[in-house]
Amino acid sequence: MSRGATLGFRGLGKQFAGGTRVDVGDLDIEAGSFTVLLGRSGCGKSTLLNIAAGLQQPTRGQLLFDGQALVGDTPDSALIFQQNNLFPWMSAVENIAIALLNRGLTRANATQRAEQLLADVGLAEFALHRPAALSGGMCQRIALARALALEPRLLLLDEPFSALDAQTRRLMQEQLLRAWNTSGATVLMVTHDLQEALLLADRIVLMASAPHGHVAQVIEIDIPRPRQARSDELLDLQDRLDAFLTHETRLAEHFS
Amino acid sequence: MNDSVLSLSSPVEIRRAPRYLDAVRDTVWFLLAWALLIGAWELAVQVGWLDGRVLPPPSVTLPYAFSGNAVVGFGQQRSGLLEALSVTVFRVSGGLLAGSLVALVLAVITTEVKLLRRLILPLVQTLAPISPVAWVPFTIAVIGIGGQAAIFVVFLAVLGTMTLSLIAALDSVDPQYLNIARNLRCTRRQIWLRVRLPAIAPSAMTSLRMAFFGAWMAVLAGEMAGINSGLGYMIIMAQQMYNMPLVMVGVMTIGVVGFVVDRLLLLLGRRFTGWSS
Repeated sequence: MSRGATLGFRGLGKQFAGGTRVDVGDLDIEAGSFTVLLGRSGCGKSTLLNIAAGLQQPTRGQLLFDGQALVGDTPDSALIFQQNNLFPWMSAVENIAIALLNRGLTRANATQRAEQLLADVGLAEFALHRPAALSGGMCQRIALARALALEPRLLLLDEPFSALDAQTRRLMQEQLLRAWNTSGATVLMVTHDLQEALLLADRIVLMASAPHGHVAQVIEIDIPRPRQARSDELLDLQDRLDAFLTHETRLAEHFS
Repeated sequence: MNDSVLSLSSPVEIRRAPRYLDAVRDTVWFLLAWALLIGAWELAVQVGWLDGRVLPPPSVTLPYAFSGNAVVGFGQQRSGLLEALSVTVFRVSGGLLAGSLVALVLAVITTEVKLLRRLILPLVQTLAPISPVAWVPFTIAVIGIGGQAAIFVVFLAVLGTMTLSLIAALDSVDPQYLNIARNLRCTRRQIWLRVRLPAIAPSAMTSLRMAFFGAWMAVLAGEMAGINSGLGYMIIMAQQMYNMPLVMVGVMTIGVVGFVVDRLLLLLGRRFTGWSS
């Protein structure tokens, strides 16, 4: 079982050609921690995640992976987006097998292992289905299974449950927590859902979009898991964060 | 467990007509539309609204088409309907295949190497709108009047538009798929074979059907404009000899074969890109 990786943002920022700017500054992500990036759309949380994945390059500062400056794609990382994680032209089992093939398994072994992983998430009978024939929740479960098959030390999630209905989302959150516990991976997750952030995170990195994207606050959440969404502690925090985000939105959207 | 829960768990049965009935219905309408047109044509000639010598009615044209007398020219120049058709179909297939393959290579190169995109794209953009017929005199001068010339005209007709549409399709591949492929440690070759090419397959198949229409028109225009064999040539010769039934047979053959090939390409596309529907 691989231990989680540490991430260190050092004076990091990105300037886009259009004039938009995101300032991360200094931020440390501990090994094996569960960090949620929370903020309204346009605050740069996805940019931060993409930089962590190595998909985008910062224009200032640097990113340390296990203390080493990172160049190119982030090693041992797995990504899950809101949707379209699976290639629609491949069946469920092929979608997982392609990741395993690239880790050096033979075709037969990759297929067998992929079928096993599908069975683990309860979707064995859908192995030959294409994503279009599966529900959004099933696709995300397959994407999660594939991500875990990579045995990542860093799991990067960009609003992975935003397109799901409330019940599926709650079940997926539980599944994610279990996966995080057993894998020991460091999790960095983007969401704009307050309650989701509070239910899952060790630490919430609150981001703001005005006058440009930046990290506004870092909030430690010490509440033991499993957490109750209706507990007073959580509701208090939720009110505080909601007030912040509402103020944020008022500024950014020019409400008077 | 009460009744309401039970009723939740038994889904409403939706009755839907099976797929093949749709196909049967479409075919019936297709045949009906043609039967009406042929009937009206025959009637118009019989009543005297149309001149049967200029526009021979179906009762003359259809038997003629299958009589074996649908022939033009004499001696070495003699050419039957089937022979002319097979010559033309061979030219279209050759030109379409060559044009599509070169277009695919160009599209891949321009996607991979930005410098070559800047050099190749302006040329393709200016050459694509040139009508294939405009190339015929040039082609005859350079290559001659044989089959190769016809294939070359089809090749030119296909190349420009096919290259542009393949480049556009590659540009519009969802970048998220490429990000995921990178994250899954796909090699450059794998990204092409397992991600980019499958992703553009549906629109490439549509482009191929469009290209076939262009090619089918180009080859006939070429054959009419000086390449001395094939279906287009047969029609022009028939017109010059005032063999109007043969002209009609030629025109209808163009329509029927074009339609059949388009349907075959459509089926082929569905076979390979079933995931997108």
